[in-house]
Amino acid sequence: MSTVSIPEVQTDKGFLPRQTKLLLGAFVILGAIGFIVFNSLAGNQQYFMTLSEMRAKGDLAARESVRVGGNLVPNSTKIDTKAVTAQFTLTDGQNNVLPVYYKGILPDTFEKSTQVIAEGKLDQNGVFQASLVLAKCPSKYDPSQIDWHSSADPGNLNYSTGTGN
Amino acid sequence: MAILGSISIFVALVVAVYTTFAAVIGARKRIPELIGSARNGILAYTALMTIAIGIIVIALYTHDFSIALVANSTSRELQTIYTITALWSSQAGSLLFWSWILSLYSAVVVLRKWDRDRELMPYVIATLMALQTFFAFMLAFISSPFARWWAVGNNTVMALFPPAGAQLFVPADGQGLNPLLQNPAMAMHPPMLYLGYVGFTVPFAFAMAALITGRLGPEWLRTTRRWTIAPWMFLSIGLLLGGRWAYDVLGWGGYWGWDPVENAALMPWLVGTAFLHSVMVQERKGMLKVWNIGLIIITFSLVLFGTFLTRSGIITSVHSFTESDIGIWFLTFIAGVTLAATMLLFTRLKDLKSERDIDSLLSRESLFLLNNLLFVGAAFAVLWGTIYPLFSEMVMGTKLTVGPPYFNQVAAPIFGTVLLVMAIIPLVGWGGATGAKLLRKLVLPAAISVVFAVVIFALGVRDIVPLAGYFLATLVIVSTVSELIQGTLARAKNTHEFFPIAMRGLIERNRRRYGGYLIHIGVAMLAIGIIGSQVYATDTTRALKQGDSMEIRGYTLTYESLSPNFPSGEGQITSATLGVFRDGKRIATLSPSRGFYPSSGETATTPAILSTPQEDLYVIIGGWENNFATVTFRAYVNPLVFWLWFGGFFMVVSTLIAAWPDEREEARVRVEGLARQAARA
Repeated sequence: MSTVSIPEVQTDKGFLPRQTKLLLGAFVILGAIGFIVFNSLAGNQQYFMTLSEMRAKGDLAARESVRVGGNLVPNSTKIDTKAVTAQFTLTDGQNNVLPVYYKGILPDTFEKSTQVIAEGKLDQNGVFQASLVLAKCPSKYDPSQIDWHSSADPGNLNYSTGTGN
Repeated sequence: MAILGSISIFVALVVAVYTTFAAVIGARKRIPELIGSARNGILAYTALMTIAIGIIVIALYTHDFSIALVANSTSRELQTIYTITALWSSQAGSLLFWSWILSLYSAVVVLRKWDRDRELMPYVIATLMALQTFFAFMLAFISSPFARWWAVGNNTVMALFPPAGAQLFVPADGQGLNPLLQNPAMAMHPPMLYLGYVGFTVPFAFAMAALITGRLGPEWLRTTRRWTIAPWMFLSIGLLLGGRWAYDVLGWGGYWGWDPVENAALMPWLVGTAFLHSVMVQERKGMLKVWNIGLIIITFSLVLFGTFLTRSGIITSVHSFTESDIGIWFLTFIAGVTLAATMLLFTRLKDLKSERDIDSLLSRESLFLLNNLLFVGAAFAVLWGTIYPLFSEMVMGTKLTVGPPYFNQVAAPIFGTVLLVMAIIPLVGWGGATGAKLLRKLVLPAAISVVFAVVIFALGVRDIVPLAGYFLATLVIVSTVSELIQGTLARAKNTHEFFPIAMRGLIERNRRRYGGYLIHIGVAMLAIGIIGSQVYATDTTRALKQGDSMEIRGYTLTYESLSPNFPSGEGQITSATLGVFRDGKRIATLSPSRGFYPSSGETATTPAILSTPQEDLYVIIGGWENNFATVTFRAYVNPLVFWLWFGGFFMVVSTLIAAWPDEREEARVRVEGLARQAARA
């Protein structure tokens, strides 16, 4: 390092040595950050459930907001663009199904997505009232999911022929 | 061509292994020829990776669907620019891109710094190439960019080498690129992020070389100074572009969702910011040596973790576009690198004693220390929230998640304190200041900021959090600007220069310091934008018939016309025209649109935005009734978002000013280098 000496500034008149104060200060700050983290965590964590867990612990989902993940049942989506609501059904591939009602606009990736995450509460009728819907990555972009032979002609792609909703 | 490409990757793997060993053995046995050969190894690796990536780019450009990467992520209708940028939308392509950028950086390092850091260089090369060995291995065996589709009976299989009895399968057209990625910001976002990510490898390699050689003085810091600020700048640009992409494309009116993938890019930026500041303390005062090496190790580990998180989809995430089997390899690699680096640090602990103690609690160095604690604390808080679902599932057996409320609640106090530190740091010198002196300097900026806060209060902002935030951001701007003005006035008095010229002279004389101050001003503007848009955004959704209107915060939006299903690129675009009225006067026309992409069956919403410094009016098409009888629009008003982008831009330009080569400093370093060589001779 250079040999320029920095003038000593003595501001320290307390009974604790400066280094101890510094260390103490650092611990106070880290402690404060730790406190904020755990405090915020306690107030904001949500259960992430599968459909079978939802069936087992339905009362929990009725009491507090939870997240639930499942596969979208094909052609179960009904969108009312006028009222801006959507209904769809999730399944876990076994016997569990969950009807979901959502007031809002579904994400762009929704229609072709297979996995969906919904956040909200279960109502008395067993319908999941979602306040947030996330569509998980469309399988189209996962190379292992590409099925080149799904059309009659193996050399051609199978275009789906939807026209939007 | 694909054969040539995969051969280059296999040869590159061999070169990487050879170079690593040549560099280490050359340095240990003191064989200059071997070290020279290692240097050529770096250049050879760069050439080989350039060939590989060149072949892929040509294949993308010419629609060579015999290569799976091209078939999986492009199509004939895709616009040319996006056929090229599709490179980094695939996993193999992005790994190749990572390795290629690192090879370019490495080549620059050995070509430019060869004479300056002779002792460190062999181990810098060894570290870089040991890391490259991993990437070349992944590219050669696990995730090859030159894999092809093979037809085996009724199935198609993606593989580099043909499975038994398989025939090459070349699809007539590709699968197309995810429409959400067909956006200019998204085309530029990954390269910027990667330039940043990969750039941090260079200071990491120098830190490792310093640990191995025991040359733990300020040389490695001085050499890597610009290698730290440049990646930090690219990472900043990458984060801003990512936010801009989300704002322009995802159509939910926001720019940041605390998604794991976003957090993955934010964490290395946070720790990198801490590192950027604490190296200055070591250069100036010879303190924080262990801390600095620790920070660069953490930054680099987070970079690898970020690459891994984006590429593996281990944590359920809305935009983890690629999922695959590289996870376990990457995790092992990250654990290995972090462990090795940390162990190396521990063996050198006794050589990393501070040259002096902190003189004063109220000094620039202790405020830098505070800044470091805050940034590392913030990174920890973000990391904890990001991996919490995994952690809770493993430890408690139930999966618990935390969303944006957790992150916002944690971020507000930490970054509020960061703003406070930023406000007082220009007023506190190295070595120390007295509280009385600081208070005297702070009176004017504080008074101005209080007046500003009172005005905002009078305008209707009544919540304590945004009021405090605005007050602190204003305090940062006023105190920094007043420091700049005072410095300029002092200079103008001596040199009799015109004010703007004097200011330019002042900044040029100490680019790092004043460039840093300008960055702080940018950050404060950015903070104002974030506070305004996070706290005071509103939205309304309405289904409208042609000619109908909707109201939002003083704006009247009239739905005037519609152009349904217009063919464009891979998709068909439906766009609407809305007249925007305020106080009865037409002020703008907005055209939100919604694209439908038949090849993937997907939709992509494009918002129309009327942006002013005061607020953004942001409109999307939410959907329509079957015959377009009504169209549903969702409108958002996001106050002050403009300042987020403008502040970000200001920050990046200021970083350029801070990092711009300074002839005087270059000369000083050259002289020091010569002196060191003379001392050895």
